[in-house]
Amino acid sequence: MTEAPDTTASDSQKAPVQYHWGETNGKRYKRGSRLPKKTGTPTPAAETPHVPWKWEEDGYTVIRGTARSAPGCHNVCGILSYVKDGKLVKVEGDPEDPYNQGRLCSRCLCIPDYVYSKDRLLHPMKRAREDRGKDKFVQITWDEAYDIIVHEFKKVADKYGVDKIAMCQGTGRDIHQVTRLNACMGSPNEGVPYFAGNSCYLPRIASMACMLGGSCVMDASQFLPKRYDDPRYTVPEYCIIWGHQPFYSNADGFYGHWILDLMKRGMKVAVVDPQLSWVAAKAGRDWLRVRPGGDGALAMAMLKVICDEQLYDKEFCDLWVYGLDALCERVKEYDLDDLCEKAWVDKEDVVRVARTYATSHPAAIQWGVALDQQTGGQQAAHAITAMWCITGNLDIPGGNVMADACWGIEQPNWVGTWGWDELMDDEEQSKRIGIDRYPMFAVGFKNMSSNATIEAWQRGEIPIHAAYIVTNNFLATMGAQAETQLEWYKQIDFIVVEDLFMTPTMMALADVVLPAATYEERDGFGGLNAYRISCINKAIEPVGDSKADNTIFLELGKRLTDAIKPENDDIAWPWDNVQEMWDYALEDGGFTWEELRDATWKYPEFQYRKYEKGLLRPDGKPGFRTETGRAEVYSMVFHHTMWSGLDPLPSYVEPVESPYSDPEDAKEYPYIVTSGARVPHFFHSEQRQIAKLRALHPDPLVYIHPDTAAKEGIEEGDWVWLENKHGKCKYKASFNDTYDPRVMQAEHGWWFPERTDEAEENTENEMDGLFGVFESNINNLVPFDAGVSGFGSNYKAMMCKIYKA
Amino acid sequence: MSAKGIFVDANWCTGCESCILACQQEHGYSEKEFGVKVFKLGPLHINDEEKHFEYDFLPAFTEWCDLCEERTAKGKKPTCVQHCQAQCLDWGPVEELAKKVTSRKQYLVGINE
Ligand code: SF4
Ligand code: SF4
Ligand code: SF4
Repeated sequence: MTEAPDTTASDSQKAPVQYHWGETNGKRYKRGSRLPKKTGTPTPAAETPHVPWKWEEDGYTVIRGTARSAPGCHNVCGILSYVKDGKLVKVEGDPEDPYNQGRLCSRCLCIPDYVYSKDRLLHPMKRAREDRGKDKFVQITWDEAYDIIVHEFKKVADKYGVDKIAMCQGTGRDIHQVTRLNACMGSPNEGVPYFAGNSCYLPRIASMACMLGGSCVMDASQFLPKRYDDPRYTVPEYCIIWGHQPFYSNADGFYGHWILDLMKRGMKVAVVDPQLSWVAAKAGRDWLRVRPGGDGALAMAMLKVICDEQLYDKEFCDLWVYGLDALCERVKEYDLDDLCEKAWVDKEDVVRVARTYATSHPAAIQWGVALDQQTGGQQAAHAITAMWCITGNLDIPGGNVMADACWGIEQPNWVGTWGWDELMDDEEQSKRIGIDRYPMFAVGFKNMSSNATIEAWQRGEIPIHAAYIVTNNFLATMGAQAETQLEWYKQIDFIVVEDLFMTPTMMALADVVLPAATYEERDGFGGLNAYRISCINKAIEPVGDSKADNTIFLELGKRLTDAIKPENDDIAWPWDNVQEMWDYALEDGGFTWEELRDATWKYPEFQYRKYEKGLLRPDGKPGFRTETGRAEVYSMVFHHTMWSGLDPLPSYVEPVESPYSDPEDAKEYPYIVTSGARVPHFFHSEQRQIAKLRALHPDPLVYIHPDTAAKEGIEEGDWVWLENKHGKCKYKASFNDTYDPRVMQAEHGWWFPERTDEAEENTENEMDGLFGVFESNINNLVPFDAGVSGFGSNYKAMMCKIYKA
Repeated sequence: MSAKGIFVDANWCTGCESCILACQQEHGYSEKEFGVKVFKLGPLHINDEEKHFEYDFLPAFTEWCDLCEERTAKGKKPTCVQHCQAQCLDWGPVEELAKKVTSRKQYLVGINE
């Protein structure tokens, strides 16, 4: 058995933590780090725009800022908020902002309706534990809420150990400082423990980190403030859009219509999608209607074509890639016909798309969550990453570029925990759930493993005794088999839920409710993307007693540290207000929060071909931050952890519970259904209570081929049951004859805020209540299994049958 | 005075429906009122062999559309035009816009009769 070297932090991991005092914006702070103290002045921003951040216009006060949560979204679109008499009247896209160039999606356009929704939570509340699931909340003050939380967390820490307190996140909100809440107490457990296989982006990010010592994103010029007009930029000739609906999802800080901007500028597309999306129709012959779960087979098929036909960039590989020969040997083990057959894609089409990709310069791949949501997805991500490495499309204009946190500002939040080393000792850190079980979790990432947690529940253990659930409605969104998980979570001694609306998860489980605020009601900055740091600028006072997530963490963090780990008192939360916290966080960029507000956005000077310039490695040498210093298509991290079943080379792993891995079950469940078919107006389980958005999409839909429907006696608009051995759920049938008749797609995140009676009356049968959350819940069908990596469960490839409700 | 109108380049409309929300917010409309609505055409099977489908989203303008009189008087674009994520809408005098219509998927609506 070999130990995994920590590639993303190998240079720092062994070094002891050094503490020192420093000054930020006139205040002294104690800091701790394993890395040597940064010296020198930060590189100045590439562009500081000269636009005002506030002005008067026709009786409105207009405030310029960027939209970064709540509501959930990873983008930082530029916005102008129009305020009259202290009320937000409307929001417009900021035409000056290079990010969205005046545009907005429906979710931000609707923000006044969201802010002033009659359903917004206005006050902290408490509820007796025995009343979980019943609408018996009592309004309390913030002080009382904090006192209860501190008291209950302390009780759990004393009784079971502080590592049994978990910070449970969701996605989309700027709440990453929550990781400091667990760290300040000495608990290493933070993550998405209900999300089987951590099945969103982490599988891809972790794969890239193991291969490249960092991660890549498609270059749509978003790093350059002049965008498409910057002479350094090249429009990709060809782009493979893989498992991704860019226009409706705006996922992972990639504004989807950038793809469209590039298509208008001549970029051709291939689309890998079981659905004929609008953009797939634009791809013509290059729409590859992959079997859900067949992405790994398809990726290996393409890689095989590129290797067998020697379409890779030999010169680039000689200089910068490790493992090309081994890869060429590996793909020989596969039969192209077999791979194409398993992928349900014509060989001719696969060969053509692989050749076009390899011979177009530059070419890009823009991928999506579908790859994270199947067992074998991590291996598929490995294969796809290898495609852009060996064709020399790595870190070049219009290719897939290495992306780092701007000025390193948000780096701690990218890898999991802000304050990991400075607030926790080795022993505390070692209690993270899953690091011994799934070695990929030991590589740079600081999250707890969902599957190790799920396995503990399955064994009858109680891995979590207190939970702080923030920006997550897991019963509706990420919780595989949510009904089963609810039974587990009910055993947790004490649960806090922080959100903006009364969600099913909150109704089911919260002992204390904390009302959070929107981006219109708070100051902050957006830095989770790799392009720029931008200002979140408060336009109005928070409604009711709601508070910004970050304010809550700061206020509660001080109290928790003091009660549970007072030795962290002078270092954990030394700021008097959030602005001081931001000044501290922004210091590495060389500007204060006020300076950021004056500029609204700051782009660091972006560099292509960083590997040539010594910009990727801490030692300043050319190459990548990996053991071999190269882009490792043969990953040394996986090489050292082969004992766990990880494979150093790309491979095709058939998902569990598929027609190929489980042909017996396939007789009873002949169809494949995916979750998460995207709708433009909803971010996961959000916005169902916003009338204008809901009116555009009132019901949960399953998209199905009319021939299949006819065979099963279903007519368009009928309510149908989808069912497999894990559970069933109810959807309205919508026909589309471009699907493979064996495939259907269901939407996710559905619950019915309008069914308040059921929530109130749910004392008898809880499953009827909770705003109908289990009814149209495709996750009822999702298996927990995430394969050898612990990354990726079958959210997008479930076997099922279908019948009329 | 020449009629003003809206030009739609449906070659690029992605069906994101931002235009609907932009219009509603600007005019204080409820969910039941909208100056523009987006219809889906297809997917039609033009040539299955070649995977040639006709699949479009087509914005249509209702009587609630006033061409954003108030905004345009102040020199701004209509809000649907500004916010369209595909930047596939334009507005102005119909004679000018007519010059832009060169394909089957492009059309023009005159609104200030
Ligand atoms: S992508 Fe949409 S929701 Fe996200 S910030 Fe931009 S406009 Fe807002
Ligand atoms: S021009 Fe103005 S009024 Fe007409 S649809 Fe567009 S936004 Fe609505
Ligand atoms: S905003 Fe533009 S792209 Fe979106 S539906 Fe309307 S016209 Fe089409």
